[in-house]
Amino acid sequence: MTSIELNIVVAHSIEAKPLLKLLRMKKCTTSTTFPLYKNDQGECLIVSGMGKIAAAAATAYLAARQENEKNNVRAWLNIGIAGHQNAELGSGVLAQKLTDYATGRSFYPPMSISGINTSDVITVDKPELEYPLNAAYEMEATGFYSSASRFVTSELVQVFKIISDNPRNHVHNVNLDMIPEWISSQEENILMILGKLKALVNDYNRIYQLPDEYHQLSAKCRFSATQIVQLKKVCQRYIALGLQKDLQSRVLSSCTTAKLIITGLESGLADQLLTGTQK
Amino acid sequence: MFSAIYIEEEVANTERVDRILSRFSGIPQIRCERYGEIFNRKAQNFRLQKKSPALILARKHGKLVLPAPEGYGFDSGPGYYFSHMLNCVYDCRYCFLQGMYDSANYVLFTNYQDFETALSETIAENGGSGAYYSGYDCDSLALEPVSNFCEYFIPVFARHPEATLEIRTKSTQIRTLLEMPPITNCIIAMSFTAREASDQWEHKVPSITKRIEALYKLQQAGWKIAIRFEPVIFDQGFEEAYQKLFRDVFDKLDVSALHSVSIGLFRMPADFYKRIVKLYPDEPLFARPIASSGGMMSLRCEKESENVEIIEKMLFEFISRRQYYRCA
Repeated sequence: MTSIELNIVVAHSIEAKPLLKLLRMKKCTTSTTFPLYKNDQGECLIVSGMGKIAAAAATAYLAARQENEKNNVRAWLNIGIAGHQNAELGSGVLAQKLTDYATGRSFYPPMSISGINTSDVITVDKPELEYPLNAAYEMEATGFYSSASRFVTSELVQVFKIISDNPRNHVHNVNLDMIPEWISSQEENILMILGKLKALVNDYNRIYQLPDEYHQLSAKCRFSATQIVQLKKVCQRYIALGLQKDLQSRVLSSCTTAKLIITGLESGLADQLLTGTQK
Repeated sequence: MFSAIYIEEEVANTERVDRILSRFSGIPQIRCERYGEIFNRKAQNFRLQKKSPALILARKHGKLVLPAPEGYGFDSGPGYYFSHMLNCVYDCRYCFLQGMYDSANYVLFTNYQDFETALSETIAENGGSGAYYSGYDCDSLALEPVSNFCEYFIPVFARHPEATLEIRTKSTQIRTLLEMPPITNCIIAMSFTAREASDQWEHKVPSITKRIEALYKLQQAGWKIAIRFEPVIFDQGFEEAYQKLFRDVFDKLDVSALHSVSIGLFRMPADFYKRIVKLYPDEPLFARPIASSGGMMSLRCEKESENVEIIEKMLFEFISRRQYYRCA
């Protein structure tokens, strides 16, 4: 089964519940600090707890856990409830601009997903009671975004908020039982965002994934950091030039030092190019 | 056309910006303090972004008219370039912009009046003359329906008849030009590579036939046109490929009326090249052997001088030597 490289971060277990059902996820750790769930496709969901610091910490925790799994990167999505000055309860908005109210710092998630309503999102440290701007107010997005975009390119990081309160239905009157219902009502949009993020991340991983031959060669002996860079580059050149078979034959060669492996690869490539198309 | 439009606070509610926004009411319009917050941020991937670029409307600060790089243009006198826009709507794999900017979003500087002032000052400093290149950091025509660049800047140069404006492009967006009276000190310089190279590396670019057609119409309307064959890449069979290209281009146009014809080889600053290789590790063009000299990278070719001579010899069967120059 194809592995899908995607992580979801939510603040509350009540927000997680409908998503776990939708994505058929099961708990995969005994940790109570950051409950973590996973499905058969490899998609993960982590419950961060409330606030931007918790969101940043959970994101970093999950990224660190996954760091050595593979070379592939993952897309990241923060889903959660928010208040809004004028959006209807249960409606969903994709973040177009994130502002940390405390610091005034703004972030701009690339608008790589179309077809969904967008909104500015303001991350506050305590619930916003006045809704002064035409924006979604919530407590995690900037922490999540600034943390996730340390691990992956920002095109792969998005924030989706579902409106739970507005000036007509105040934050103090939010009916918690309605939260799973509101999130479920946004299933179509959530699946659309996930689908587009998966397409992007698969594309990214296809482009930047190192060939198997690189892993086999790098396991043959000890390479310095500089030599690893050289090895990556020369392996990528073989693949780009359609010389995978020649690269495979190099894996079987008897070179036993990093220097000899790299020199052999480079001279082999030069020979190929000499007899190739270069005039 | 754009995934979103970002608007710097400083240019919000200006006439030019309002007019642009009114054309794109259905896409997210997002306010920002400075365009660099989006354009220069870390953790962005030019290649992914190129799939759905955004437009950023901003004000250009600082020096607006800059000395052209040595050997860039046709004139041996003072040469300058100005960029009302950063990035290009096309996606040419050999383009240095991919290595120059972190972002594939388009920045359109809308303070045209400031550009006009800077141009007028520079022209005055040069006794009314000089060559002024547009299209170094972008394709100046390609976004004309949005930018109205020609509509604004051609009249500016009409007021400075001794100064020359070169608009370098691969675009066929010539409607505005055809609707204006031509001026003698504006040159529309169209770039070409051989058909195989164009098919392979010039993504989203109008076909060679359409570009020639656009040049023909411009020439018929009285505009001065020029041809830029660049970057020339010496693949096997380049003689036949360029022979055909030259025939296609020069058979259709009034060759004697061409302002100039140039060739330029694939050259790029080393740091741009390194960034592009990282961005496109799967691109065969960048996996080829390269040569490095004076901080510039080029494709290694043992017979470069001979090949250039072959190209030049073929060119001189169509054009006069007086019309030709070689771009550094």
